Amino acid sequence: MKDEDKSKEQLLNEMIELRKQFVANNIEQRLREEFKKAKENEEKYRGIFQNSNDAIFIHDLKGQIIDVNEKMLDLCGYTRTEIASARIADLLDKDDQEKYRDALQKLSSGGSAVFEIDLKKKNGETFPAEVSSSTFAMGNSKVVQGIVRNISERKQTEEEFTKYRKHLEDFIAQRTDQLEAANKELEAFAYSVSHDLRAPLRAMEGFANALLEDYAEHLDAIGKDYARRVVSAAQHMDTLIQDLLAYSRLSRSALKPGAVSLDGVLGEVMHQFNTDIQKTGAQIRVERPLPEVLGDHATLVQVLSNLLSNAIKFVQPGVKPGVKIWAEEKSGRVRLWVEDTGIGIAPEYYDRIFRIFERLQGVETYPGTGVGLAIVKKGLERMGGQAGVESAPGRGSKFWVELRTKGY
Amino acid sequence: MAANNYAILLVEDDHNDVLLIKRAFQKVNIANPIIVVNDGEQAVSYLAGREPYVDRALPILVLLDLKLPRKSGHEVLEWLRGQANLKRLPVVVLTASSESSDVNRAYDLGANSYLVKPVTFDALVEMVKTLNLYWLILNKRADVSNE
Repeated sequence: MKDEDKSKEQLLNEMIELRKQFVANNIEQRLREEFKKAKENEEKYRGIFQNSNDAIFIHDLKGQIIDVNEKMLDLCGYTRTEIASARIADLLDKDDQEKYRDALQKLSSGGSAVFEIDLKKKNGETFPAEVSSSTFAMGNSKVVQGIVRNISERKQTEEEFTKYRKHLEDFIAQRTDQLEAANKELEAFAYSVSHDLRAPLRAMEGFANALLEDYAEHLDAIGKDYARRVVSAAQHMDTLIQDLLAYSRLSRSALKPGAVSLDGVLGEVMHQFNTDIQKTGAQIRVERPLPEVLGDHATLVQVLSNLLSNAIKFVQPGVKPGVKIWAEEKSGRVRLWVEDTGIGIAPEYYDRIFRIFERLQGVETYPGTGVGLAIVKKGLERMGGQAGVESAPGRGSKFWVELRTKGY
Repeated sequence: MAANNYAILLVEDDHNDVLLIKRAFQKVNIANPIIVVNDGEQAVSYLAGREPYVDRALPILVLLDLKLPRKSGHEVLEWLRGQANLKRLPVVVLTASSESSDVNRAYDLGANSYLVKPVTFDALVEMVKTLNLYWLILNKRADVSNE
């Protein structure tokens, strides 16, 4: 070979060598970069995996655990070496193993599943956990990943909540029973009052009457007066009992609130008072039409008849009663006014007259039991309304009752 | 003996009420005799014709109190409406109770009328007058057999 040839060949070899080195370097460089990137990625995801606040495990389709994060180790009390040879079944009681398999069955078609299950620690203790499972491919095989959340506290809160709710329900049921029993007793009491207490009254009234009729010739004027007093006292007591019963019935009976026409109620009341109105020559003016209100028909009839009866009754002797009835409607409420030309009431008695048995006038002048306005107040309360009065002595009274309109 | 069947059976335990009701009947001049029994069991015995009422004549009207010893008025009424021969007998409840539960139950069990005993004697007389006019004079009675 010539020197020249030799150097050429050498040069060529060197060039090949250089090129090899260049390619190798280049590949190595790229590999290094790739590796670095992969490592960074791996670190990044491992960081997320390891530092996650949730415990995470990965196992293969046979249940062999592949990897868990620190949190998972904490939660179950295993070391990393121990868990490396563990199976997912080691973390579950027998019953829960089946439940777990069932949950995974649903995963076979992809997607994810969230379920609650008890996990077993190394020391055998269990705790309630919420597991979100999903599958993904790792290399050529499918693996299962589970994110575990310890829900002991939530469970405990739920249990406590359930306990309190149960306690409250029991308490309410017990109170309801007590109230029902009390109500029953009250009903029995009222029944006995209406039935048994009135029987002797009938006898008093009836036999005093019999004395007056059958033995009139044996009685002088004073004797007859006494007998008449027995009759009127018995009658008064009967009214008292009836008013009391009406009052107590208001407190214990269930009202059926609905739309009630005040025009209808007033018509009924006026019909009731026909004789009284004619006897007293009362002038009654009603500004119709009156609106509908939300209330109980029977109670409203009772309330209005008590108000009208008072308006007719409490006038100066010899004065013809004048009554004006009208309604005001504003912001969902109706106020019905009953204005009279009667003797009036001083402001210091405004509250008092609505109390049961309170009377401002002697029975001799104005007969009554002191229950009428108490019925008005109680009735309005039971219908979710209010009652009141504006008045002054000698200037008549304006009683009002206020109820919601039917739309509200 | 249909001709004898014109008595009124008064089922009432309160002796004062018995006296007053009888007096009111006299005032209104009602000729029908009043037979009085004082509790629910006696009422059933009478109507069934058991001892000591084997020879009893059936009444044309029963005035029935509700709150009675031994058997309540409601129980008497229920029994009565279950008897083939007596079920058409008119029964007017005459009681002190105006509780709607009592009223409704009485009608459910087949009462023909329900009257609340008034406290005043005058009102009782008025009531008996109307009762006589309606139930003893105007009302067309159905057949009721002794057996």
